[in-house]
Amino acid sequence: MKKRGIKIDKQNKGVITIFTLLSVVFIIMCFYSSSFRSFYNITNLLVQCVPLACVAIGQTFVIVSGGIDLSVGSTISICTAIASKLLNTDSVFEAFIGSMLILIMGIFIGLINGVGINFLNVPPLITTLCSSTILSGLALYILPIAGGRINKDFARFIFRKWTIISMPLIILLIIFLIMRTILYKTSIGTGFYAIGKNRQIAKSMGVNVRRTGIIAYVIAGFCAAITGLLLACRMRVGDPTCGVPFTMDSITASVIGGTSMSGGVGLLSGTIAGAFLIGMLSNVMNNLAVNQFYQYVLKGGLLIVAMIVYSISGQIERKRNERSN
Amino acid sequence: MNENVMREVIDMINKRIPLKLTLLIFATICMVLIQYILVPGSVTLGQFMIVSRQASALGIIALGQAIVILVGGIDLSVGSIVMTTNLFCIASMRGSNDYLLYGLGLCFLIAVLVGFFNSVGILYLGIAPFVMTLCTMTILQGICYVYTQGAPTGSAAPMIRSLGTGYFCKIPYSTIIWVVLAFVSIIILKLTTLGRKIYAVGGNSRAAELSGINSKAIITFAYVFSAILSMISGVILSGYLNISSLTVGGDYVNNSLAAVLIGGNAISGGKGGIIGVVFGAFLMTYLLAILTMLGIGEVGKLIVQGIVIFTVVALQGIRQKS
Repeated sequence: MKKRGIKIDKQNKGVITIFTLLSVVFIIMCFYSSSFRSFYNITNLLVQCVPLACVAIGQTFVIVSGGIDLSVGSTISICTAIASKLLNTDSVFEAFIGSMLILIMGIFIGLINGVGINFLNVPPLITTLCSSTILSGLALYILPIAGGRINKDFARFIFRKWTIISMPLIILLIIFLIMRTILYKTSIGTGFYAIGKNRQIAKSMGVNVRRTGIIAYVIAGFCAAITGLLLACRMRVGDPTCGVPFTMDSITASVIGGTSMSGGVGLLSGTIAGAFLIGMLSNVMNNLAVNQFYQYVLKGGLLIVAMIVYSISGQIERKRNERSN
Repeated sequence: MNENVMREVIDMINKRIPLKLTLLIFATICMVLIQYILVPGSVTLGQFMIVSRQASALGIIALGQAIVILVGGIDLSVGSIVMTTNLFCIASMRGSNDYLLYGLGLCFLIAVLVGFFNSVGILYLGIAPFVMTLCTMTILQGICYVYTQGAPTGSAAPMIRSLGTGYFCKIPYSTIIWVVLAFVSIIILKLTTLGRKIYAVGGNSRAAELSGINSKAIITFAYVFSAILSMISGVILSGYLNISSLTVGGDYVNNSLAAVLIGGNAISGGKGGIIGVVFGAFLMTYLLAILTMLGIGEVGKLIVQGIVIFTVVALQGIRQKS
């Protein structure tokens, strides 16, 4: 137990760095651009970042447990597609039931991924790539082009604003608190870190490796479904391809937030900071009227730079440890 | 050509590793029968040649992907290399043979650079292969969008066009290029020390390193080779389409993985060969062609792709266990 406490201290350093970076960019932009510091833009920015933060939380669970989920983007797409059918009613109650069904479907998708990986021993990369392909096919089958309708009152409720606080932020906070409890306070949470570090050792220490692995993917599917619902409520239509960028962005957000791709290291607060950093950078680029296509280059570059920085700092740390020993 | 393939097949049977190939040939025959039953009268040599021309682009990419998977990596950037090549090839040639060499040289340079970029990230920065190539993919897409501003223009040089659409004795040029490249890959893998080293690195990179193999050089070779083959495929596609498109690379990542895995190569590296991959690419294209003939659209194809890749890998895992 003591050892884990030390590890989290080390991780905290990464989280502090990323929060510092986030506030530095924010403050510089506030001085630089008057349209950026406008109240409207800042509230909007906070709402914009929520979907990515939400899906990135799920991705962090998977990456911490030593896997990768490339299917979150398609899960989001199919959720918005189904939402545009199920939530196309006039009664708020039916819309609520529909959204519950969508969340259950997200869990189910995660379950399938988890079973494929843990029981059929197909590598995570291949399983989730396949389910991503299949799900994007199904999404296009359900909704060939963007359309449909989301119940107006339900959507308005989900995106309600009280000055700076808005409903999406509250949803994100609730999810963060729940997931935080699962990851840090329960034995399953410790299990995620354990199987991410070393599956064999975790198994011999009595962790139910398969069950823990499946739960990670279930959480990722659940978070992706919530993101799909949020996006559908925001657009008020379904879009069978809207989730595509989220796969890459969620990985980037986790990695920027200090989650190690090799598993076993990562904190949720870092991931959320990473998601907000990505959201803020695209907002900044729009504000500075940079060609929006540069955002592709930026996101790929950002991921590589983050990985380089963390790998170099990891090497330095290791050398320092060796010297002190 | 076919005789050579047959001789290879017979050689392999003699070497007592025939199960995989017999299965693949059996699958091909089954699919021809299925096509014969479902769409009567469509089984002709001409149709086979058209399928083989469509398969050639995928097949060439799959050769590179196979070598990358053999050394234990994965290359998700193949699709966007095809797209980038398509774009720069067409933009730089401006529809004239005068700029042919310039265009080809430019594309070759881009491919080599991308290959090195991938391998540097993977080897020296310690980034996992699929993350690194995913980044490369995104960056290349970004470059393409920025370069074209979303609206690509231009047309291919006539020579490239004939390469993409022409026939030599009823065999499409692109099929010939594919088969030649497949033979080159077979020779590299089976007859040179480089090939032995590729298998060694894929089987156990640490053991290979300890026995004196420069595994970094081998892995770099694999990624550069894959990038160059993707570029060749991009050039052929440019000739075939005669336009540049921002969606041309879309399916090649999934399909090339499918082709390699159907061909019996292990996803964990170190096991497999080229002939299987050639069959795999042909089978995959053939399957998609049959689906098109039956009027099943994009949706069905995506679902079939996903199911095929997953099933093949799951079966491999089950067989390994037993």
